[in-house]
Amino acid sequence: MTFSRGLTVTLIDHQDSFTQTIASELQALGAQVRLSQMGRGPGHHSSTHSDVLHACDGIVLSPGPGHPDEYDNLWLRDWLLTNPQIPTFGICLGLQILLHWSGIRISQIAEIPVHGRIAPLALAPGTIRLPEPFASIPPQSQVVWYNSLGALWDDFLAHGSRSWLAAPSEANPSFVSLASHRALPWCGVQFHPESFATPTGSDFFAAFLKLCAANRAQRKR
Amino acid sequence: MESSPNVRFDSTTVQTPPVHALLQSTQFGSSLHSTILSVSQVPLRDQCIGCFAQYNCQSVIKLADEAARAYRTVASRPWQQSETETTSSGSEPLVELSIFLGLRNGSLAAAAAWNNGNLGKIAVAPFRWPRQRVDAGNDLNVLHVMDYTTRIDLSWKTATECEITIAAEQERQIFAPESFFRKLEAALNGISVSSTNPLKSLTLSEDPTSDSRFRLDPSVRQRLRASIAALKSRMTKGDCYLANITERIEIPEDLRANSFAEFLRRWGSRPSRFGWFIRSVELGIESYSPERFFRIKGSEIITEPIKGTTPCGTATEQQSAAAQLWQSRKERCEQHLVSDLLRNDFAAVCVPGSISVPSPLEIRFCSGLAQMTSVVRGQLRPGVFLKEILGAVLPAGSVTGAPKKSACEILEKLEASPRGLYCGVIADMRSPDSVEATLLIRSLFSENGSTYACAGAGITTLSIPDEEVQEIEAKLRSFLERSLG
Repeated sequence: MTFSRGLTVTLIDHQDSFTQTIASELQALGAQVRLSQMGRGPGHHSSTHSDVLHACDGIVLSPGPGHPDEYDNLWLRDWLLTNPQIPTFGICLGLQILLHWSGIRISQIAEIPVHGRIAPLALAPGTIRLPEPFASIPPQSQVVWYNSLGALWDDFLAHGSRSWLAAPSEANPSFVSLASHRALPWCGVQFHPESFATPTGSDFFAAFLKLCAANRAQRKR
Repeated sequence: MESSPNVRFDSTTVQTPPVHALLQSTQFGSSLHSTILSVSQVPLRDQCIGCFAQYNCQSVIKLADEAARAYRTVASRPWQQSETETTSSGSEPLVELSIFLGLRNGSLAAAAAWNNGNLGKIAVAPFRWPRQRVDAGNDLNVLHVMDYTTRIDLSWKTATECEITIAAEQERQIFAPESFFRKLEAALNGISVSSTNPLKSLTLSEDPTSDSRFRLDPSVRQRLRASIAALKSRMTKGDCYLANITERIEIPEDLRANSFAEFLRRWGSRPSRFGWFIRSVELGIESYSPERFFRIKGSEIITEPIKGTTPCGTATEQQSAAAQLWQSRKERCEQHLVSDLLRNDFAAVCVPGSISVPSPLEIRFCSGLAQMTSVVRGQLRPGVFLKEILGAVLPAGSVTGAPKKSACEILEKLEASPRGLYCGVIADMRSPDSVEATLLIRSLFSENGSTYACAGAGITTLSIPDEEVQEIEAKLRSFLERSLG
């Protein structure tokens, strides 16, 4: 993968059991991965993370247990806002963190969560086009969800649609499945592209790395 | 500690570092799951006897190609297109059996292969390893034993802490009179193992009152229901998405196989995929485990987590049993989760991009049970140590939950007794790059003067507490009824 050669991505691990898979997806596409642990509760100050953020070309926020407000990560938001050219990709909890920073409520999505459910993003081909950077991925791709929480679609329309472009999936229409920030290079997915039950999964990582490469080229200009 | 010997193995000279050196040469601090492993060595004791048995006959039904396309099955790297393990399909039962005995000065291995129900002659000799006998006069023979049966036992101390015990002697000389070896061979060859029909129906007694020893106390059932409800409420908050809750019951000591021959009779009458028998003064393990935890062969590592079991009596019922498992949304979701969990654990020690699921959601049939499993395969990173591999994969994903760390913390508070050897791992290590590790489920354990059995159930948000409690009880009952013979 020539576009991702020499890219360095910082992967923030929210103590999840899928983080190593995400790291190896990124590595398999040619990127260097720096892993940084993020525990729940207070005490994760920016100074411990400045090294891993230094000179990185992109940030991936991993899935993880719990609610975004259980993580002491506002320092990271501040860092990202002062480095607005750094692409950031949130997966599951990671997307919820990005949306939560924009003031969108994250709550329980349903009586019964969707743990291990496989379904296409969109049932009919061509009905929607996924927002950038994922526009080249067929919207009828099969993906897998493992989430209890999410941004409910009504909450998103009320508080988030001015700053974010988002799509629910046809199988799970009540919450945001995929989102992309209108002004910043932030994007995220509520499903799990790293899962073996998401056959097009590596396309999502490739799309993100392409965004990182494009932004790096722009910065160097 | 011995220096690394150059040993001959299948006519190739291989450098084999001692196993304890392999385990101790890497620090564990970098492990994602903060698994703490303490390593201790114990020699096989006097009067310790053990065996590892493997039943290589399962028929397997795989997902149709169309359905398998919902999964990323094989990654595109050329070196990954190695053959999947060939599985015989029903007609040719093959049982491999290795027996080891503990003696004062080391361990002694015996091996036999069992074909079509006939146990071959057991030879008291280390299988495939060279041996030499030297006359030392006075009818005292020296048997030079290369340790074929390095044994690694892993036992949970707490939910996140594991203890490794290695019963390993790298190289030993055993002094014994010639007559002893002859007597031993004669004794082992006297063990008769009945031939068996691999598809003999496993009849579960549905009446929970059938034997009061196998019933859970009403207060225990109540506690389990409450724990399952607590787990589900943590799941709706997003703290974990899969958790395997277990229960342990003390059982009368007379339920154990009282001899090695008794174990072989029990195992042989309805062979599980893996069988383990260890009996020494301090420790007893009698395992009828269906689950391979991992197998390392060269640089390839595979794991085969089981989620979803249903009785399946005859060959004609296989298709419908498979359909039943595939149609269960809960079982399918659990299988997705546990496969992704193990892919993640492998990613810490494997070449990036090398992990594939060549056979998703396949159904294996063995001794009257149909079980859903996915084969996860990875290419080990060059130079990775066994200790790193164990640190990455322990505690085992299929008996804990996801996210593993969070699930373990929640389970530790909810389970009434420590798991001990249950859900631990026992491995047969023929060389550093040939390890067969079994998950210790469906087993009887004796430790510290008590004998116990355990069973568990995978809890997801789709679980119904009463059904899960019944499942735990049914698992204990079916397993203990077999132990009674």
